[in-house]
Amino acid sequence: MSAEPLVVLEEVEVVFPSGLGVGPATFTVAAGEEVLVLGPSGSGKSTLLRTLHGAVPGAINARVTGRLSVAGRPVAETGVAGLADVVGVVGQDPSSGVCLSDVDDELAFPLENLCEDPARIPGLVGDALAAVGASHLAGRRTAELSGGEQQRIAIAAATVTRPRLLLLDEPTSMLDAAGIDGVRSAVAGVRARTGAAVVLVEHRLDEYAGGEGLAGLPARWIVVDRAGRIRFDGPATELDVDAVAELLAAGCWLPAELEARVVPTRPPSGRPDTPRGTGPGVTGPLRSGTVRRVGSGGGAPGPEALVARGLTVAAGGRRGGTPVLHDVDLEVAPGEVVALLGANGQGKSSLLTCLAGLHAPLAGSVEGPAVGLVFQNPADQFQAHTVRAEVAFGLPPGTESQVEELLDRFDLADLAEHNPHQLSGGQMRRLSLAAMLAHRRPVLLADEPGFGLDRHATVAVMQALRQVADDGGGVLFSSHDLRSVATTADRAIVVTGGAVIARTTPRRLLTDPDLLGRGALRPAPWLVELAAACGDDVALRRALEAADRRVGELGRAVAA
Amino acid sequence: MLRRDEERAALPLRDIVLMVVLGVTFGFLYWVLVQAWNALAVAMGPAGDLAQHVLFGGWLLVAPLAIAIIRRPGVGIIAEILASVVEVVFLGSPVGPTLVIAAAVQGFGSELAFALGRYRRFGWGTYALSGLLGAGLVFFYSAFRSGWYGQNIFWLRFAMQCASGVVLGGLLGKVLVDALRATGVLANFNISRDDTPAEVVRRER
Repeated sequence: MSAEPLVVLEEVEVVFPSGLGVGPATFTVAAGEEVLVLGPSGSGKSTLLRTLHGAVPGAINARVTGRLSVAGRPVAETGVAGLADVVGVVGQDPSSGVCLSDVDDELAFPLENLCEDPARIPGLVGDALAAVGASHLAGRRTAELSGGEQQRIAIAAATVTRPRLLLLDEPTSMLDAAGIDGVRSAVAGVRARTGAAVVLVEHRLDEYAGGEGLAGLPARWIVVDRAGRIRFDGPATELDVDAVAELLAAGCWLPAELEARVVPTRPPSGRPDTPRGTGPGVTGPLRSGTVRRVGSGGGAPGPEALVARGLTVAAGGRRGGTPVLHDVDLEVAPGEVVALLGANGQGKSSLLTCLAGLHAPLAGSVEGPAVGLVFQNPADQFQAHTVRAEVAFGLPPGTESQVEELLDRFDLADLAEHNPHQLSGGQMRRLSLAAMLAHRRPVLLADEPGFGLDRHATVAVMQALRQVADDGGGVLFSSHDLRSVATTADRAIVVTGGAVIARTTPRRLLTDPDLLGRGALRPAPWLVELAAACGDDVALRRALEAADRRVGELGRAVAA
Repeated sequence: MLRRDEERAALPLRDIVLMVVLGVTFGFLYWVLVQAWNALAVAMGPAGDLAQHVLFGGWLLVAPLAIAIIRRPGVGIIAEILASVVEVVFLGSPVGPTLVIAAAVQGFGSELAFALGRYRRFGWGTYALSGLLGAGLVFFYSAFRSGWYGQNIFWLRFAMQCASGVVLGGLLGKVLVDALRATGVLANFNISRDDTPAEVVRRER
């Protein structure tokens, strides 16, 4: 067994034509080691990962200096193809990680590229599918899979060749609790069988750890700051309170036990009598433009409400497709935020696109005002060549100040002249929301608005949704993140098995283990405890908002 | 600038796919132009036979586009041949299989202008020369096939075809390349590597 490190970086720096970059990085990864790379959105984590297997500069234009070698091979000379037998890569966007039309072909492709014995291929494909919990997807067409299902197939394809180095870029972003378990067990299985090293970029640390907290995460952390410089490289247990506070201030999501050292989340004591919103509000490096007014709350659906009756929705909205949801009744009244919850593939995206009028339902009706929809894949909705033009798209002249205010609020001001497609995943998500908010539709639908975002960005996005409701609009969003749901939503709708199984509030949902089980939802244990300790929904929301506010203050203190 | 080893290495898969996509897309567009040619020929009445010379430059377009984006020798010729194959095999071009020969000559002519600049000069002049050579060289082959030798409008045809080549096959090509570049879709192809200043200074966010 060689003692040579698997990955060696010496003063590796990546600079894009725009001047932004990441590095210089000098570190090694030993064979079989697990490393977690974390940092705020847009800091260069994905770029660092792509540099490790040669996609930067091979496929993506950038200047890379320094020396980098993987498994003893200099990456600058081998390129991506030269590392194909030792590196497996899972990207952030599941639809771009899948390239063939059948699941079986998709998994056989890497094996064929490596000249694997054809007789062994079906067995290896079956093993890889079983390892990610996707055996039921064998024989399906990849275009028909939901985002989360595609992600599982992408992970299976990356691990089917038993690589020595596995690079995972936010593999859990689109996945539900069962899917996250699948990722974790797949990665653990690969490590157990082949001793592969893992470099993981992840935001949702608590979910990835599966309730084990720090112990369930890679032992070694590399922290990248907003400017792309490496700030910390070492065991997570060596992080002291100041370092943790700095990470929180930078906007990283941290496991609850680390966050609790700096910002304890506890139920509010006494009777809260200050109406929500008249306090200073949560402002961090992402400034909220307006002070929130007291919301009007829900009520009987008025003329501005979105009402759906007896809706039957086909998978992906295809005409004549198989129905994925039957007989759905729902209302989104002005002034309320409703969350749509459910496992992958249960029809949440299809329902949202149907409500937005993009597809005709198979049965039933949708009535209501003009609706705005924020897509699951932000790149699908981009229309313009620059970020500023995207936010301003379709607006009447004279609204420049509003555009600037939105850019400021979502921390896109310094990216205003960039091309939308060249942003990081989280930046694209913020841009798509900002562009839709500019139009002030009476009802706003959002498909996983918090996906791939760091803490500050998630708080800003959820606040923006809350603001829409406070300004009199209605909001319906789908999410896997129960914390965001508990912080923002007035009501929660759970879909499973083709039907709506619950219409409830976030707190009642969190304290109902039976419902959580039926909906295949798995909140973090601390969130369940907090929900039980809080007397009602408002108290729960207050507690979570208070924690967000304190982290926002930390961020402002550091930025100042 | 491409590194020396990259200039000699095989074309990366991504560039091959782009070349094929351009070839097929323009194969269809060329076929559309043929329909426009028919309409123009009828509209021009007794001068209808000259309509092909008026529109000729349009059939050169894929070569400068492919060369400007991929920046490797030969991609213009291949893309042009692919386009003609699509026209002949899938769209039933009235010209028939000899169109492929004409496409090869056109592609060669278009490439020649860029080759003379060592694939590093991409100004208006190079594009114009590309259109001129693409239209001019193939003229003599078409004249042989169509029996234009001996006609007293021979040089009129030649002049019209060359003018069309310069405008529609050269200058229009640069307009298209610049428009594509502005959308950002070409950010990771060789065209953008040449756009990047050699010394990029890292800036802080």
